Amino acid sequence: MHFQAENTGLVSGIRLVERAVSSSNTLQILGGIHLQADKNSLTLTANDLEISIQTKIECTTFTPGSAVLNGKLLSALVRKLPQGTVIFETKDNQVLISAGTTEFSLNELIGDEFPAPPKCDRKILSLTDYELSKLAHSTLFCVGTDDHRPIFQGVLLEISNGSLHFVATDSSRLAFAKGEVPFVAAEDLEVIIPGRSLTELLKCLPMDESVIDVYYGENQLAFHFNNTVFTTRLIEGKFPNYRPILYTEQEITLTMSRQHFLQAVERAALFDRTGNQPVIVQVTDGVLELGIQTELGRSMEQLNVEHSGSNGQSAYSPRFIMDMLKWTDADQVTFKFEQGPRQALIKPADRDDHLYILMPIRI
Amino acid sequence: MATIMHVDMDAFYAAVEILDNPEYAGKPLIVGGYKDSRRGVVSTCSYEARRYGIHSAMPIAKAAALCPHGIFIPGRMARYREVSNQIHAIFPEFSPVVEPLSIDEAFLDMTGCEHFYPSLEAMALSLKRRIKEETGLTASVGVAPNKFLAKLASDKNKPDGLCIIYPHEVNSFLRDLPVGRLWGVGKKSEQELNKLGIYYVRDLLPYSLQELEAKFGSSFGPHLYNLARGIDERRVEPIHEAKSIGHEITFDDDVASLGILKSQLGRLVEDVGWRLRRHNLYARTVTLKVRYYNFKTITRSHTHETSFCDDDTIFQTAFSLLQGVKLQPVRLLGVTVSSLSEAAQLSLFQDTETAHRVSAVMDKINARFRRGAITKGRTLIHDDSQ
Repeated sequence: MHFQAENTGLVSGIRLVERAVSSSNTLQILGGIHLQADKNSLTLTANDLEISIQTKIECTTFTPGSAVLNGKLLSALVRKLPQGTVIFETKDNQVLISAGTTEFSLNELIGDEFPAPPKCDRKILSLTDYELSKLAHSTLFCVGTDDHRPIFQGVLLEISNGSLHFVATDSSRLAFAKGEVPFVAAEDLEVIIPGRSLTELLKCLPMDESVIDVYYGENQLAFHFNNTVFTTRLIEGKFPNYRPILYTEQEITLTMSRQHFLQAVERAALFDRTGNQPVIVQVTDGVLELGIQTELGRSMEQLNVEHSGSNGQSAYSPRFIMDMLKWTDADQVTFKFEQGPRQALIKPADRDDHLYILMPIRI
Repeated sequence: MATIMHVDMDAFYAAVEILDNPEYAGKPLIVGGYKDSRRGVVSTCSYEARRYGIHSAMPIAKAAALCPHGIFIPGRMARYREVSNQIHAIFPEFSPVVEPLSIDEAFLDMTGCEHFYPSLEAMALSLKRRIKEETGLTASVGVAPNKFLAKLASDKNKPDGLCIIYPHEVNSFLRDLPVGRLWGVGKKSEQELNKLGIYYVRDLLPYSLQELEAKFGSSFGPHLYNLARGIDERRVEPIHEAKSIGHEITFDDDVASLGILKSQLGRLVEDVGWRLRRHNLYARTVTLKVRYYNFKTITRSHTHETSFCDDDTIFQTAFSLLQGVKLQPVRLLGVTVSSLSEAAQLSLFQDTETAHRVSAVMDKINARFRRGAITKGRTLIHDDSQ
């Protein structure tokens, strides 16, 4: 292998795939970045068996070939090189890297074969990076952390009757987002994307109105954009049937300014030191009262709201309410709830494309 | 050097009864149940009753056999609590740092405050006098450089006792105590120590820290080493907010059968769940503790996303942790719940309401009859070791 490439392209390519370099020591080869020099293109690949990232950059190839180099070291070194052209050349299980007057050689990782990215060839979806980011952010905050229940550690991507939904739940609350997309496959599909993979994917998106094509393969999902393919393993298992939870009628409906609601709950949350103390929500004839009392003290404030239905009281985690109010951009939100152990709903006042269901706290 | 005072009321329930019913004075009085009660146990008895060999936790039927002419009464918890509140209201007059231990016991950190008194003895006497004035009852008081010693001291000259252990007397005080009197040494551990020829605290002194660690594990070994030297660094903790609720059992013979461990786990869980619900608390974390035959002790825990207080969740979590540990002869098994809160986040998918109601009904039945009157089948012994 012998090629030369511009430093800027090389650095951005390596930084992109570096996210999939494995930090565990179980399989040494996975700690590497695979370089494949073909005619005028260099393919960089990393794969930690959970996610795999592959990207192509321009280069001038003298001798085609491939090598696997320690990913963290390669990334750190290349970032510190002077601007300009960098030359890579294989010599006896070492790769000689030179730029200007700087030169170093890295030992190749040899022994095991580098695993190729999993194949995904059924196109299921096209959407812009902005839309994907919005759907992911609207749901990711609900992903759970319980290792014993992996389906709650992912986001459901659901294609149903030609519409696209993202859904996530930690079993106490659930977020649902509906996508506006130019292409969706005709057949229904349900896959669960690990929350961590989706978070990493968001960091890789160009955010320049690029279109992302999504392909499905056996237990894998691949996102194609620019010259990059991001592939993730899917979580096996059946996502709980969330529809009955989503479409329940609550007795009390309130509509109010998102900012005012958020600020009031944020103030109440300051009193919740342990993260499990509830804010009491009481509505009486158009006045919403938020109260919290903990060992730190108490807070009580009132908001005027648009109110229909009965008067009533319930209790929720202030953190859970804040999460939704932070991740929606609506000026006005609707909050529906009722007394007793029934779920509440928060959504933008004028749309149904982002729904948030949360369970009360029993006090 | 700290100065810790331990206060322990003398035969508290019995003393309150005698206070309210002077005709009981000087007679053997047993609080815990009527004489014909088949199931009750003695919760307290007067010193006269103790002469007949009666002690707390003894079945009432046995006490009745030992002392047929004794006065047997079931007890009035509300009244005892009332008197207890009076007593606990006195402690802040003596120290700002008070750790209530139970209805009739407390630690007071007197460090610095002792200078207000001509002597430690005068200090302890003045507390005893205040309690007597306020309630008419006697207390035993121990003063020592730490909690462990203060508690031993209060027990030394009961009833109406007073004992002070000065720092230079610590070693001579401990030397001749049976090892069973050390904090944390139960009947089983005592037998274990006796087997090694260790009967008194002085017999522990020749052992080095490393030797005790090798014999009793990295937690119990150092514990014994320190206590034998009168070392106890626990502070008096004023706000005694429960951070966890747990229960453990030491087996008579080491157990290697998963079936038996499972049923014992079921019993431990019923105790822990009962206490959790009595305190109106919910938990999120379950911790399993296993001590093997060689004193090697491991703990495994799991934290749930939502809180719970029902036996089933505690049991299933603890049992799956048990299935994940190495199966070799077990000496001690324990279950603890923590991440406690007074409010429970409800779940969207789990019907916690049903489990909650089942536990509530079982608690009612057990409270009305006796603990264990109703239990789950999983607590029944199933030996699969053959």
